[in-house]
Amino acid sequence: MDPGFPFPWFEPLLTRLREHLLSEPFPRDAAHDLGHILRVARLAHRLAKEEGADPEVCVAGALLHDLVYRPKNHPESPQTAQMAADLVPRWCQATAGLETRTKAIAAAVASHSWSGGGTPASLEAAVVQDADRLEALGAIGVARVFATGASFGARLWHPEDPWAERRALDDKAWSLDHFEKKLLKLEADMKTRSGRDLAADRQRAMVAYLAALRAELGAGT
Amino acid sequence: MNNSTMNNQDVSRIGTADTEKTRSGRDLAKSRQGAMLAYLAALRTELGAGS
Repeated sequence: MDPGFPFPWFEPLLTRLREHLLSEPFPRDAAHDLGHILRVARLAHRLAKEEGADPEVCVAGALLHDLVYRPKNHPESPQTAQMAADLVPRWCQATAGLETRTKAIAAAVASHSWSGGGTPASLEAAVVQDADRLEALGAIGVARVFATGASFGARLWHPEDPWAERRALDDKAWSLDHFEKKLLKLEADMKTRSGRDLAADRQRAMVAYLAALRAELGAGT
Repeated sequence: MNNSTMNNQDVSRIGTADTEKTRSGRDLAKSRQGAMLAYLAALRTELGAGS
């Protein structure tokens, strides 16, 4: 799929990003691959246009938001947003056309993540955060949550109490618990109007999936 | 088959009333197929969302 960004720096940055992804210390899970990065960039571009944000900061921020990857059960996982932001100046200085936007891009990368707990301080940072969170919702979010869980050994759901009615949520052990623990809360925390609109659609798709799953898990009773 | 060539006709051949051997199995398969098609429709929309 060709994202088709009309920025002269896009192809050189993408080429460098592809090379970077091949030389990382930790292999990425299926939910945090180049496809995820490009989808976040496409969403960021769309949200930027709808919100009147700087599209180049938003798309570059999205392309660099997961520059540092650690598995979700790695102790450094909550710090990867800041670790990526620390690398942004070097990447921007090496990419003709991005030099003057370095600070804004780094700020957007630093504040994007849920586990990092960052609060966006600019419209562009809000767009990047919303774009990344939209990827955790909807049909795409459903696929990604089970892929991520599988990458660190989580099972799909608790075999005797899948909906955690008689136990505490534990999304490190059961991927289905991640919906209740995080994903169903994301819609309420979207920062832009366009992001909220898209999140509402994706939340409906996710809730429909959970309703179907609940019906199927109860089908033999 | 890759994502670009998969369509609803392809998916509709999975677990259909034509292949299930019992009436109860066919009824359950139809319900699950509906859920699966709804999921795929949502996924298709989302994958085109940034364009």
